Amino acid sequence: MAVAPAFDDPDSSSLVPWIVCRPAGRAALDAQGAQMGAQMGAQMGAQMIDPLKVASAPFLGRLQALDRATYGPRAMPSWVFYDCAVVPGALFGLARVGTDGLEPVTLLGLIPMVSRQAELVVALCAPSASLMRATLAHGTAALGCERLTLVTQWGAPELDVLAGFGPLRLHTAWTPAHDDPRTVTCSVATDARARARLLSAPPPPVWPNANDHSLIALQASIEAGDVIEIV
Amino acid sequence: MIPTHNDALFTQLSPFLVATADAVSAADPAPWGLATRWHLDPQHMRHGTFFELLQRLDQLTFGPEGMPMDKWVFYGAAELPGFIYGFALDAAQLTVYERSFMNVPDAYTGPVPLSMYIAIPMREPGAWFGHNLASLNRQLPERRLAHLGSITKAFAMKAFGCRSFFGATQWQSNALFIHTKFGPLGLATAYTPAHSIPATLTYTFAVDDALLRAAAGDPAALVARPAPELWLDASDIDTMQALQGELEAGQRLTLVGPPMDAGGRRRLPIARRLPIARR
Repeated sequence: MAVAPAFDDPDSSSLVPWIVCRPAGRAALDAQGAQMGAQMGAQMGAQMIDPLKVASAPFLGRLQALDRATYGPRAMPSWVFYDCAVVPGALFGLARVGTDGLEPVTLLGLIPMVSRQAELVVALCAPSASLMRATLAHGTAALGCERLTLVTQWGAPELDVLAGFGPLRLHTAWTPAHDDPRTVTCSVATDARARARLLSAPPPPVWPNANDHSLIALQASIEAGDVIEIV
Repeated sequence: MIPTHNDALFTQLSPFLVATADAVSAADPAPWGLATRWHLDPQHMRHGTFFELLQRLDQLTFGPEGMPMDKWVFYGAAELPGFIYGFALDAAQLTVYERSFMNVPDAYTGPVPLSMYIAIPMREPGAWFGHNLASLNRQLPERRLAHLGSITKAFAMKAFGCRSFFGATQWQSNALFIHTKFGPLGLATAYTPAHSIPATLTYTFAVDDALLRAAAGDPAALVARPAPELWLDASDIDTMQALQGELEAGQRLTLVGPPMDAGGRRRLPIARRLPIARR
């Protein structure tokens, strides 16, 4: 069993990190980490799980249960979890060591984007803000991610946590391509300095007025080329 | 342009690309010389109706098989990280029946998608995962859209310069007739309990221009295929699990050709070797 790293957060001190990634994806991860000089998952003592093996199915099932408990009707169906998260990307999280193996407590799922300038969050599950901060900080380090993109709805608690990294750049403020147009798409730097800032638990930012008319006006401004950040 | 299985398609349909501005800049705007007519940015409000039509295309294709995509999946697991490439025609060219069939709003005058291919990037540079191929070939027979699915997939992969490719589908799926046009497929899994349907294979192949041209129907492009060593019955879970055991033990397995249907059974040709290397 891997040795747990000394996470600063007291909630996470008894938890062990894990990573789900195909072997080929892991090789790409290691090469990227070497280039960045980052502390990658293996150096962190993370349990490495190959999702293409049948023996990994029970743990992947527990991750899906965690995703369902977090997202309810917008949980990923199994085929989306497999096709759009597990195979193309990598998952990181913290788990308790139970009698039946690892019991995941938190989950951060990341997939690359075409530009390769940022990674997209496809799952972010944690039972508390402090564990979400720990998962984001250590997960972005372990997966070599220096910029994140997140899709969520205005008012979602993860926006407050994500803003702890630093200024959030808005890409959409009103999103008709999503089932809920009151969806925000934003990105944030997640490099070493940003991670340190996040772990210091800074106060949340002041959010803009989120009525539909103001969000549509904000979206029009973004489409016109304005760069808008939440600071 | 390259010759294809159905060149007449291009007299009525034109390509579209749904991708963010960053992704559009990474794409070939005219794969094999066929210019992309419509670019639709999923982060702009004005394309809302087109995204409803994409969802309708998906429902018409996958609804009966039970894996249709919600709009949030389209946005968060297709348009934002990757791309949707396909073929469409102007709404004005649709018949009254087709407008109703596709739920096209009366006032809408833009493109109406009749096929689409979705792929998202993987961690390895140049690697892509394809997770949706939809075409209304069977639903609109009077349009004579034969081979629209394989032509859409080939042009999409060409547009984004795929170097290695992954996909997952069910052993029983008719989509394997299309996927195997791209040559022998290396198996990454033969039995996949992490998927909603465990009788799923995960496949991969190294992409080159000849394979894409062959799949699109260029008669000058030929695909070499190893001889099969066994035939897998598409309903034989025990053999799928045994093949998965071989994969996990390090054996290389290849699906070397399309499914064969006979006597009410579907069988798939498997070889225990890699596809023939290309130069």
